Amino acid sequence: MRHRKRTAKLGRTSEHRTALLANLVCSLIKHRRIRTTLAKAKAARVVADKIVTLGKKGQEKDSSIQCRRLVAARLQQQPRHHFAKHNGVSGKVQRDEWRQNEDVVRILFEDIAPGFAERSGGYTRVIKLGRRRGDAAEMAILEWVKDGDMPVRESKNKPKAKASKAEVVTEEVVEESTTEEVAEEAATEEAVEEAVTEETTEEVASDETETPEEAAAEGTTEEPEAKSEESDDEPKSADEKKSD
Amino acid sequence: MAVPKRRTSRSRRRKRLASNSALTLPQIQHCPQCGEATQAHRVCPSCGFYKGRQVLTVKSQG
Ligand SMILES: [Zn+2]
Repeated sequence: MRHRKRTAKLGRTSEHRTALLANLVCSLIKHRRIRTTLAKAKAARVVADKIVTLGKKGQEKDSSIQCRRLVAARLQQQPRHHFAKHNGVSGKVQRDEWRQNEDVVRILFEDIAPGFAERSGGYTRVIKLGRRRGDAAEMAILEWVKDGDMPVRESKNKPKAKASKAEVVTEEVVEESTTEEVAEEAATEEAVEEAVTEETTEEVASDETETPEEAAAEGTTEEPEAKSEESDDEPKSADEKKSD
Repeated sequence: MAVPKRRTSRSRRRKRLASNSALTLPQIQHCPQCGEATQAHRVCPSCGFYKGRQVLTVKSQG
């Protein structure tokens, strides 16, 4: 009997599901935020948190290689040694570009995991976007949590302190004003980062206009987002690409 | 085996369907940033703000 087994199956076989989650987490590592369905985002954040835990463990010298291999296995990453000269671009240049932009294990261990040294769990955030047109699936953004990028609401802990009702009301009023100030500050800060968000939305928008074949025909950077939006035939195309 | 004795009348059928299969509208709130109607706990689709932070940039239409 399938009692108390809470793993989200996502309507896929286990191989299909691990491949999907690996692809989602890879694109989260590469692009820092991804847009998928809510169910996939919630399933992927579990994997992402465990991967970051491994990444933090691997900051120590003696466990580094082991953790890197575990991450590579979980994210289904093959080691790449050979970069042939292609279209006049030397193999060394291609290798450096790959390490910079595509090498998920390197990005995790050098760019992402050190930023979470102070945080114990809860490395990702899911923001709901509403339902998408077509199949009315609830969409969400999955992104890494950064310190101070969301105003913190403190009111959740206050009612547990069992204050009397009148006190709670006055406290809430005060908190609302403070959170608004924080929100305004955050808004001005975010205006600087708008360029970054613009990029991501443009990618999303361009994906929507593309047919799956076009998205598959393009480079591998486009592929994960297209995958997260489309459903079943996508992982097959991804497998084909890996074998290429 | 238990079998219905009477056919369900039009009135009974309609009363049942009216209450048991009625759709409900989602709760609507107003965006504190731009005032548009939005759903709770979701990014505002017209300005892209959520919890006082720009989450998306929304393309203006037309
Ligand atoms: Zn708004």
